[in-house]
Amino acid sequence: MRRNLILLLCSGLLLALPLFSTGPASAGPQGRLVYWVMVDLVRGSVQATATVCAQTNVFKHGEEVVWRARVLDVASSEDPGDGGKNLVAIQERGLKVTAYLENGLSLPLRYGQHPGRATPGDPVAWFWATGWKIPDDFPTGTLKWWVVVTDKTGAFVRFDPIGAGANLPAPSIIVERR
Amino acid sequence: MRPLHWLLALTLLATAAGLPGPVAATQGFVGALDVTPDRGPVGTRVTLTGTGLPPNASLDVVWQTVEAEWLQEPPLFKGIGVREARHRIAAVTTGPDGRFSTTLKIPEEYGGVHDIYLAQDGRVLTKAGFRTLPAVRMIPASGPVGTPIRIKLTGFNPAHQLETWYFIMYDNKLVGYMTALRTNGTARVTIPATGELGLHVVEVFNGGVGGPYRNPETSPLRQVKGHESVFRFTFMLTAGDAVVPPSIEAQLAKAVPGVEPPIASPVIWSDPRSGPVGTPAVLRGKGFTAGDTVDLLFYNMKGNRLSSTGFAAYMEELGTVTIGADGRFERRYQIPDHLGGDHRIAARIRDEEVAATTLTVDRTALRLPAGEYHAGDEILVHLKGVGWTETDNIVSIVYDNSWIGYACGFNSDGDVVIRVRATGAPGWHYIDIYPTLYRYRNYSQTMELPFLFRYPMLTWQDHPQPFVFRYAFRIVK
Repeated sequence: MRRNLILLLCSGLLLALPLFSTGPASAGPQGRLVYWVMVDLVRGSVQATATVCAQTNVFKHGEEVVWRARVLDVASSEDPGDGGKNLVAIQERGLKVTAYLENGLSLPLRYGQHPGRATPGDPVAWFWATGWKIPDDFPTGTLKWWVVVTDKTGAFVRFDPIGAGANLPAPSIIVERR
Repeated sequence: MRPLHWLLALTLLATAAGLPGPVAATQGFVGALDVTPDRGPVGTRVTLTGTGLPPNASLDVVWQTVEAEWLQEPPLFKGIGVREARHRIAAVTTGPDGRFSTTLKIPEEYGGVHDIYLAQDGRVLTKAGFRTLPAVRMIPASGPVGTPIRIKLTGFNPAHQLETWYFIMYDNKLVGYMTALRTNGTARVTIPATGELGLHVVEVFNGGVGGPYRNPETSPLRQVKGHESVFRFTFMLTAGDAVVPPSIEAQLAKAVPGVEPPIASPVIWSDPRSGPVGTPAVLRGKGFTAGDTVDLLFYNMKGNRLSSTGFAAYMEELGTVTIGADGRFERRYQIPDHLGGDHRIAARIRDEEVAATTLTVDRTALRLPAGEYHAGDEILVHLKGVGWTETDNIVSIVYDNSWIGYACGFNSDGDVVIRVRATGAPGWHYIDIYPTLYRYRNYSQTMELPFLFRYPMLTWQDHPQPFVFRYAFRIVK
């Protein structure tokens, strides 16, 4: 009885969580592609076992998975934040970039400057990023991920790791013991 | 629906509703699973230990893997296809403390990272990863010239281009490459021992993207603990009688008998339904009107992919038969000396095709003109039944374990003469003809594939149209 109740409630919750489905990759309010999205993974600096900020999909327990995303307006081919000069535009659009993990975790990406503590005159880049420290007891093996971009007009763009759709499974995060 | 999503929802709801649960769930998982060791070649015996699981529960141990295949839409080659798959490999029962421990052997199948799931009534509780590493064995380690050197590689990972392809080098010469898509991750290759008496080096290199990857020490894969990118062996070539392959006739594909279709309407079939060029065959039909005259038509292709004229299908008549009183006919013929591969054979009555069947022409190798040559002589390797599709229009040639090129049969209607110069010291030498792949036009989807083209597929059993021919001859003073 309790199991049935839980399963019933699960079904209801899942219906309310469309982000967990593997629906179409992108659509704006009128079915129009609004944002061009590119995402990669790099190793963060937390308890790193190898080169920091290097692209990888293999991480050890305790290491930090960092998502980096560029989100461009398709109509203008420009960064809505204009390289940090127009943060208001991001707020006005209600632009949200979120990384999802197969186990249900979701991680909001933040639009910011990189490197974060650049000295005056140093070149910087503005993009979306977030990190996730892999708990030491997290199950090893593969972990699927994807990123979703939304705004307050209803635009919805889903990014899956490059490689998906080429007759190969999308590359997953691989979690290994330290 | 992904099981983990169900688990997440279950966890969230159990928490939100304040429902008591038998075990705690963290990060969307229930309990923990440990696999020791967490990597190794196929056949590794591992210990699974579960903790924090529901007490006294029957759980399934599920192995996550892939299924792989060559993608073909004849005449097109479309690369490789890999899809995820899961199958149960064990069942365990937890104790009153929610723990269990068991051992199992890692299955001999595709390599790479596999998830081992613990599931209860189809719901995933937790999981752990195991990395199946590539491993290579070579036997024997010595023998006279021509000794079959058998190389077995397990743990191919078709979902990762850096773990999918391996090349074999013999005394620093490229022999060809190994794959294991259709052979479930295990590749078997047999090459002849060649060269002079003494020590020879056989190396198996990770394929990377285009050829043998010679500096694995600085590869990104070096961080994958236990992952070997190169396997090195030695072979001592000793004195003794040469080991020569069977006669070329004995190496041809065996004709596959044709079977009478269990239907009554006009139908035709060939017996055999496949075989080498020149194989005696019988075309039979039944269900026809007695006394009718039937034209028998053989369909073939003509042309090539390089000239502006392109290629097209055409047909030629195999002959005419008259239907007997029982509605049947029988026509003896030989498997035609045309392109290899599948051909339509049709029965036509009064300008209308009323029945058809498919005949497969296998690649056919003819004897060498001589068994002995002088250095510098021309050796004519003569093949027939070479095909025209992107998977069977070319063959790849290996001379004394050294790749020397490829030959195409489309423009010559499957008839291929390869002119090879005899080189090397007096003694026995070997020429191998392997299948390969011609091309895949959609390079944007196949950046990992182009190097497969034209090189010998030493794992010929893995080819969509498998065959291999091995010649031996002597160079004399």
